[in-house]
Amino acid sequence: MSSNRLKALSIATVAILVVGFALVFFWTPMDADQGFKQKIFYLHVPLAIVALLGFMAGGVEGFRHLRSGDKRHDLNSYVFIHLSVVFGVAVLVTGAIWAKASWGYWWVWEEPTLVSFLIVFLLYCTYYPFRYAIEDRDQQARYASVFAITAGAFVPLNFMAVRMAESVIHPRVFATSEGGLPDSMLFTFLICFVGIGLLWLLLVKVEMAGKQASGQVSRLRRALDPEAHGRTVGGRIAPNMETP
Amino acid sequence: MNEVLPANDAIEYVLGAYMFFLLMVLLYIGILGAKFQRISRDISELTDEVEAGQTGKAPAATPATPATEKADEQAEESRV
Repeated sequence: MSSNRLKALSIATVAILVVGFALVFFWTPMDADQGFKQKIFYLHVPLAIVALLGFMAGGVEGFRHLRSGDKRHDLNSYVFIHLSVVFGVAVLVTGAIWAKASWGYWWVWEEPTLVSFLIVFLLYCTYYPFRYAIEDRDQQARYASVFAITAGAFVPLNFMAVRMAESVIHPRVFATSEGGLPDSMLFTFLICFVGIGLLWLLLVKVEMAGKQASGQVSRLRRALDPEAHGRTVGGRIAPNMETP
Repeated sequence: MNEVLPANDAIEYVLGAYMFFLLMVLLYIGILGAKFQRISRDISELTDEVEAGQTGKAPAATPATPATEKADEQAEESRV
């Protein structure tokens, strides 16, 4: 991605997030049931949806890597999962804050929505040690892709299972028999969702640019002094755009 | 819907959640910035390495021909 496009994406992301959060606090009506604390919904839920979609996109890229053998798809898969884990941390923390404000507890172990997200998050946390434990680059990429596909398929299955399970206290607001969110809340939610989605995409692009640059540096080092730098190749822990 | 609810219930939790998100994004951008600085430093080192190698190997690697000598002389003259 060119630096101009990256700059445009940055500006769009910041603008949409500022507009979205301004709508949250100055335009969207207060929820009659929860009051002001319901404002966390516009941050917590988009983060959760974007993180889960990112995990699934990581699986799709893993599948494309296995099919084509193209290292770029492995890099995409790694970066998608990495950013989604970071967003997952934000989901858990904002969710815990909302839970404390609404229910008086930071965490409720009986609630399937909370526990299922934690399981998905912990599953993806194992991606790093699993990947870094393998030294051979090709093997590492292949095994990581298999992991990404399997875990990525688990995400929607897990989501469906939670939707079918009986919720204890976690609210359900989309596709409910009561009609879901009012229009003004839905509009604000969609703006925040687009903003958070763009933020994820922006961080993915920046992370990717960093990986590509560090890959080029490694290639240059090897070209200048193959003996000195060749030894370090197998020991690296994260994928980049190196070519052997 | 109640639009006249006071905005003081659990305000610290709401601000806490949004502040956490903001700080996390800033921290992540800081980490990315440090990474890019390291890459930039590596590139400078490599550039120095290449330039040092070129000055050391230049006479042997590119033997001067009458044509290149003439071009060098012209370049030197234009520089002056």
